[in-house]
Amino acid sequence: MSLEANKAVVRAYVDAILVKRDFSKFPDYTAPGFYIDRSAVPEAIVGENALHSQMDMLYGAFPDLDLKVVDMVAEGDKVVVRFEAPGTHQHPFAGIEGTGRRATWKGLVMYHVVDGKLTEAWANWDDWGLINQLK
Amino acid sequence: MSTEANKAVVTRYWQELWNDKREEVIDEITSPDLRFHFPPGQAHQPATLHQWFTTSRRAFPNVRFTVHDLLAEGDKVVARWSYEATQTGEFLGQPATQKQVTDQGLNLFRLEDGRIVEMWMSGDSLGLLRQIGMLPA
Repeated sequence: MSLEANKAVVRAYVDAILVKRDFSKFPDYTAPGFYIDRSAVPEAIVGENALHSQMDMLYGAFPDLDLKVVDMVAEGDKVVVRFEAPGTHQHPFAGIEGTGRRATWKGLVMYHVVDGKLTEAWANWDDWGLINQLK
Repeated sequence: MSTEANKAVVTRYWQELWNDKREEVIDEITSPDLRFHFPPGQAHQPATLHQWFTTSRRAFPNVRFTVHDLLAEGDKVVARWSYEATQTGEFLGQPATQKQVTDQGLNLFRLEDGRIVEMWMSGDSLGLLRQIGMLPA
């Protein structure tokens, strides 16, 4: 797969799964066993259901979350995305009742793409920064 | 500069600066107006790389980074890293705990003429602060 093809897979995954949360398309973009290694969380996010519940929790707290790809860097079978996701904190998040505050969640994520599907990801999302913006 | 030349500069950042503790490398591989883009939740947001290095030498003098992936495209380079360190000095007001800490993250660098001019960081400050007991685990 070319770099552009790998980037296109990542963009399609972000749009369908992370933004529109159409998990019926999860197998179209991810290989069986796809997992997300998140250092802030002791366990990796493994499989569709785990990611689905994370995304539901996040959009539940920030219903207008606007998850955007602001930069991409790719080489070989890896694609890195720099994300910015501003949103309004309307419902409880990390034990904090909805504050009505605007906050921005930022992250850098590296995706491994094999034969047109994501096999693993290393995600660094600024959870601590997001929580601090609500205090 | 080619992407391979840019990667070589970023390799010096991890190996010669952070692992070999050669502070003079900062002035060889970064622009004087290097711009940091810290995530809002980064625990330590120093004004300069020299300040950052000084804090690290005091708090985590044995820090050792491993670069697991290094990739480049255009004027950007990304490193996926992890480190191990022991907090043997004061850090953000917290006295030495002698605790072993580890973290992993991604850095995105932009280079011009063989020097790092911009850097976006992402580490796990929440995890780090928990490991040294500044936040409940």
